[in-house]
Amino acid sequence: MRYELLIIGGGATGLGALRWARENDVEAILVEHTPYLGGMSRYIHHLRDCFDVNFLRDLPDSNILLETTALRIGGDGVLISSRRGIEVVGAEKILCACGVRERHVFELGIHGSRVAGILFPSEAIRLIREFKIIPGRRAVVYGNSVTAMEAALEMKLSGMDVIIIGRDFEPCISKLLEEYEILIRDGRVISILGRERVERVVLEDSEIQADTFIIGTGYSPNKNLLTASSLKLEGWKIVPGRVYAAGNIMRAEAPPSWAFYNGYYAARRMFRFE
Amino acid sequence: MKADIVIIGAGISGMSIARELSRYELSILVLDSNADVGWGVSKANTALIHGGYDDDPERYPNRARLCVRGNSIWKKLVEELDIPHIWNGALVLGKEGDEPTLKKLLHRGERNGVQGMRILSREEVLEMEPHVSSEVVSALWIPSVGQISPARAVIALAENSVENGVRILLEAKVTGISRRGDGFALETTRGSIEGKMLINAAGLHADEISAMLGYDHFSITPRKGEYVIFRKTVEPKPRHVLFPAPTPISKGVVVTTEISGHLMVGPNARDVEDKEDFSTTPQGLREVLGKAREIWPPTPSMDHAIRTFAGLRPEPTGGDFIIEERDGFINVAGIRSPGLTAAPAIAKEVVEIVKEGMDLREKSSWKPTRRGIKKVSVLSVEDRKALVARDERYGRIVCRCNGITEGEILDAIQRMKMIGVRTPTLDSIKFRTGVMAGGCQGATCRLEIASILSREFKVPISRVTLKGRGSELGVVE
Repeated sequence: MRYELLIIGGGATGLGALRWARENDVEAILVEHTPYLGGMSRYIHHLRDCFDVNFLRDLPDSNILLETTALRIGGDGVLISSRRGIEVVGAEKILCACGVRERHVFELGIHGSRVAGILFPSEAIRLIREFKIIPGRRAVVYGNSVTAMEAALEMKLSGMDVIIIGRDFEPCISKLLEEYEILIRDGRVISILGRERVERVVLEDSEIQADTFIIGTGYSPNKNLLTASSLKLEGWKIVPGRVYAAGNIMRAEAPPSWAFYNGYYAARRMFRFE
Repeated sequence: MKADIVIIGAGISGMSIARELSRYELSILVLDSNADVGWGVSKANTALIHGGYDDDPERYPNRARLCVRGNSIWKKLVEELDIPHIWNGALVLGKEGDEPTLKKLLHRGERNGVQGMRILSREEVLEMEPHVSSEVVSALWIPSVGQISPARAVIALAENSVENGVRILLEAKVTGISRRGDGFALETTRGSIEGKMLINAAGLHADEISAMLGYDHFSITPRKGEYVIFRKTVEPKPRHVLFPAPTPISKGVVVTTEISGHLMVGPNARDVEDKEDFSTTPQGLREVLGKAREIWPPTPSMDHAIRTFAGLRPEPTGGDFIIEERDGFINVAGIRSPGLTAAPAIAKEVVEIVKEGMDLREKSSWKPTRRGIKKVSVLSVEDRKALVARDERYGRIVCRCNGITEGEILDAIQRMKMIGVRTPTLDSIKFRTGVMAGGCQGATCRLEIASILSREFKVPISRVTLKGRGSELGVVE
């Protein structure tokens, strides 16, 4: 079967595009690498259910392939891999809504030891909500990304001590952190030290004792698929008339509501104005 | 527990010796304090099979002799044990004034028995590596140099040893040794052990082990080396291993494309106090990047790094490998660079030493080969389809950056259990498959892998560790 639209990524952007396709009788299929829909918005408490419940209830399951990874965009369609097998899914147009991943310590130039307790915000959130595990006793959250703030609140509510190192918080966020008695301070993290676990976080002018370090300085676009397909991301039209990009793969820092509408309107433009 | 031969240390030295001794009718027990094999000196180094031109046969006769011999044994070993490798050769790059050093290395190499070396002109160097520093005027070409995955090599040796009857006892830290009758009695964190002969391949801790029997004539200083690995997409990358002209204390900062395709630079060299200090430092990495740029100007900035790491070399008193026997106790100590290269040759010498004290009978059924670790991402689409049709788990990709499947992770777990790993660790999976070693460093897949480990080892996910006890995912009350 050949689809009119193949969407890669089941985060807010991909779901927005799928929604538009559904409303306009465009035959679409969506592939998502993880077992879940929602992407990064899953980690944001007030959004975690809304994509599943509100936007998808009238979509047939066959239009969404979970635990399915796009390996390569080729001439006929996209090569996908899942437990069902490896196959090319034919499609007229392809939307890369691959979104972002959280940045890691090495990209930030943070030095020190490779130890347990250095977590991505999404990991801290999942450990607590999904696996019912408290990641540590005392956490340093570095940065002010959306998922980092969510992780800080989640850890605090689980009984951990939480210190945030960062600046330029939205006033409503600072107020919220204050209400939860989460300390905020400014600074730059130089290294993380410990033997098996995080023991100390070293700043330019001081040190903080902690057993958990959350890397919350932001996101980086998921370009693996484009690289594997020898495609370059220079604007949203990757291959005009055929392969497009939308959402945070382009912008990296926008909120899920923006991403949803960006996906929705990207699909519309791909079919109505291209 | 009893064995004919007890080996302390499941690193490249200990496992090479165990594998070599497994040819004979012997009961062999290998002890290691870590949760998996190869986690000491072996896991973090430049991953090179050196040529053997660098070691002065007057000052370091063991190094000079065993490096060249080890290099040729590896060529066979990587095939027998299916260890990832590449024989791409090395260039020692010379700038103005370095010609005498290159000539000296050439003569030393020829004396050590290194084959095929040649001094190249500037034009020849630029043809092979167009991006080296414009100050390079000539180079020494050593075609026999190669790169392997040292962690995978230790795992391969361990699997093959176990298939040939060797037992490995992990998380067994030796706390005391005494002579008993003709043999030895050891106290470890996993109980008492008796052996007729005892081999000390304890890496950074070999001096402490030796001192337990009163032989305290040497010490081991941890010499730290720091490295930076860059994103796969970073270009240009060298096709050969690039060395600067060496100084009296170091072979210098190497620029390579490591076998998984990433640009890697390092190491520096700094003596430290703490044998567990594997931390990287801002000064160290600045030094490494600076020195790399002296021979490879396009070395990128840290923004393009996917990982930094540090290794510790076990620098012995005197600087040469210590291989000696004292009434059934054999020291294999101070196996610093080129220890990875020399390991299979060291193993053969140790077998000769063992033969002097014991009658060795060859097994009729010794198996030289081992089934390699499957890498799904490099297979053709047709082969992948066939594989997934047989086992659906090879279709489910877990690590997106490196395209590693659930099937490969489950295979790694089987391999871990087979050699005696009993604490689930993420690093064990990483070293076997390459998960969490790509661009995202585990942001997407780490908890999925932890969930699989939790299920397969039947422990709560909070008990899954990064690298053994004390590094659990959750707080341990």
